[in-house]
Amino acid sequence: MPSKPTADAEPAPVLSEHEVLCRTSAVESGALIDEMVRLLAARHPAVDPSAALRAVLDREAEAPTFIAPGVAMPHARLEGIEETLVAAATSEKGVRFPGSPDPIRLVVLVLAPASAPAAYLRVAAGVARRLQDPAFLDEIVARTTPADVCDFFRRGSAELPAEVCAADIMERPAAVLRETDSVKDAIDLIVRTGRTEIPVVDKEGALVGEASADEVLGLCIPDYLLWMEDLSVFSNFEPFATLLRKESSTWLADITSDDYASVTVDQPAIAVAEALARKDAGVCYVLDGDKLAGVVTLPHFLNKVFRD
Amino acid sequence: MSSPSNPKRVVRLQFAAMFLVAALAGWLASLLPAPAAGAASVYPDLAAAASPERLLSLRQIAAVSIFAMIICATLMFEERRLGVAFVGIATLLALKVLTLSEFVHSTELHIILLLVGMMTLVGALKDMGFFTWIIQSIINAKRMTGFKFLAILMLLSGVMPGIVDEVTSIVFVLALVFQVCDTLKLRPTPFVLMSVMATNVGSTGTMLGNPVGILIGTKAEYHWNPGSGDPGVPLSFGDFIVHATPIMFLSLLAIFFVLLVYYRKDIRLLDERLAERRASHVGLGPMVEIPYRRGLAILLGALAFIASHHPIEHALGLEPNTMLVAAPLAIAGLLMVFRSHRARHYVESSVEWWSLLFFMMLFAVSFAMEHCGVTDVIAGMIAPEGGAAPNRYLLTPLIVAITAVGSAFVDNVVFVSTFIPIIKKIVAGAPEMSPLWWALLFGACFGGNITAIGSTANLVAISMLGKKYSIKVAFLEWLKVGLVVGIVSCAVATGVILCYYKA
Repeated sequence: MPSKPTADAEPAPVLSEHEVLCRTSAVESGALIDEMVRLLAARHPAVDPSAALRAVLDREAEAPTFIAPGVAMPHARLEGIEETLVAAATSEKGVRFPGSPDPIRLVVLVLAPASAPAAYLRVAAGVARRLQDPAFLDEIVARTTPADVCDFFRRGSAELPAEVCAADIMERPAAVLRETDSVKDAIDLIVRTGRTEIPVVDKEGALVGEASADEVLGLCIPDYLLWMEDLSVFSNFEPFATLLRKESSTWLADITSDDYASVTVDQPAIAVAEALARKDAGVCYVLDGDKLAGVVTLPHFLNKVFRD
Repeated sequence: MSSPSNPKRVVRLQFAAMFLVAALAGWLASLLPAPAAGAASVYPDLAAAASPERLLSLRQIAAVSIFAMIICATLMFEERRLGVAFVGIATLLALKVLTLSEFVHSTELHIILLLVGMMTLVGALKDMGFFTWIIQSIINAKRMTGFKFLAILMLLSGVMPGIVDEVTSIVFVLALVFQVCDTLKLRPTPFVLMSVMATNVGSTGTMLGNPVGILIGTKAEYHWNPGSGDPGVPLSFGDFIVHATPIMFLSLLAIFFVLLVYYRKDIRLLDERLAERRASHVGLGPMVEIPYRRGLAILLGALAFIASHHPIEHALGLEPNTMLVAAPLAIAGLLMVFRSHRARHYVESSVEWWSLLFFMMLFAVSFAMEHCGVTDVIAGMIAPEGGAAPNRYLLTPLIVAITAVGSAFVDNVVFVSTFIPIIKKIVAGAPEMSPLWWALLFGACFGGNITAIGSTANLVAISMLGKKYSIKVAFLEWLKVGLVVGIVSCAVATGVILCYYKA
């Protein structure tokens, strides 16, 4: 899954022992972030601590940045800095972050240049990959010196990934249909989740297609009905009546298309953008082999690139 | 350095090839002997300018070169063919091969207006739900089986182009095919090819099915009583119904069986999927009542009006085929008056101005070829004057074969407009050869089935397949079935012409 480093990739941000707080005594997120920002500002004059703190807290207020239970990655993009800066803090007892059910025991603060969309994502991807080891969090919190923490971060992964891949930005699908489901199940799911495209998988979890609200509409109003100048002759929704009567017995295949955007987990994240653009799609499916591993919706992708 | 697949480089190579072919054709034309008489009188203004032989030779070279250029343009770049035709006509005008008045006269405006009228009528019928109603009726037919669906599809594809033109017909038939294939999750290509091949065959059924039919109908000089010394007359809508329609149906039947065998696996799958649907009582589309009566009444009225053009002309003492043009114009005009809110839409969107303008340029170039004597020379090669009487057993299959092969690669209007003066010349010398007009019609239309670029309907179908499914039909994939269908249909038509029209 991890992607290979490339020669022309942006240099990976380095976690220095001077920017690590071990076993912090802070109990509130605001105070801890303030302390971490000041730590970075002390060594990097380009960082305006008050502006940076405001930007990080504003970003936190928009959406929480927990990437795993007990782990938060507050971050912001700043004008005036030219490299990505990283600070880390560990806490034995945990820090309270608004919205988090669990106390946060590892905090990684990332300040990235405003024009570097991949910077934060690379750090997030690197941390997320380390978190695949279930013992990682306990072990890093057990470290007592900043040098130990830095060393532990680097162990097993000499550097951050050179590029962010699809797996790093995907999310779990909000809804999935089985190929044995009916059109009724699909409509129920579309209405309930508000998602207009839903992946369809077989019993092994392999992606077989995409059921969409457009296809449901197309089933009721095929192209040849649209040839007519005016559909107001069907004032009682007659084109929908047939489906309404038969939705439970109409196969999902009737609204399943195999013309969808997809990438594999190890493809670079830019491939997701390419697939979305080429297919004019709102969602890109991320596949591990032929199995559905995750999805990247267009708003999610834009958020990752422009806001995260 | 640009790679061979660089699009700009490919275009430059295509242009180079086009000019090379044009130069080669011009050189060949310069070797043709100038016609002894007739052609010079067409250009009295130029006759005294220099040696008449040399003048005619220059005209021949220009006309043939530009004709070759247009053929190359239709072969190599669809999007540029009209541009090439415009440049060609401008060159012919500048070289005095055509005068302005000859150009205007030669664009066959009456044919263009007939097509405009029909396309406007089709636009209005589409608006009014007529085509939707037909598709709806087929989709919701009870106890549909694979064979039944294909029989209906082939019949519809065969009959509709004779009523509305072939392009309109294929667009609406493919909507039916796509609906069925989407619902049943079938590979659409076989059904698209079946429809388009039936459409090409069906377009010969009436005078309105194909621009070629209108061209032949209005330009033919048919001798119904060859021995009587009566002058040749144009063909009417009724003549097509009596003579062309039966041959069309026989050919349609023949290719139906060919396609049933060729695509048997896909048809079996269609049958299985339809049976599954029937078993679960699920249809192929929504069941709605389409208000079709008004559209049907307008279409039937229009067809009756057009079909009776001959007796009306006779009663009013009009030139032959006057009402054939006037009727669609009148119908289109009335529709535009009564549906004024859609009138602009019909004229701007329903009329295929791109194709019509190309036809106009093509007619003018063919006229130039005719009046420079090039077509006389070709006619002389096919049926030498003063030689033995033309042999219909030789000429009929020859005309069918030449036009079929030519139309397989170049727009059939190009071939027919070139061959009309040739057939005219042959028939003028041997009136009993009048059935060659039918040979020209069937060869030009049936030949369109041989390759994927053989007819406008093929190009439209391929484009629709590409847009909807991103499917590309390989040249050889089409050729394999198209060649069989082309040979079978041409053989049927040739056989019937030879057996039915005995001298």
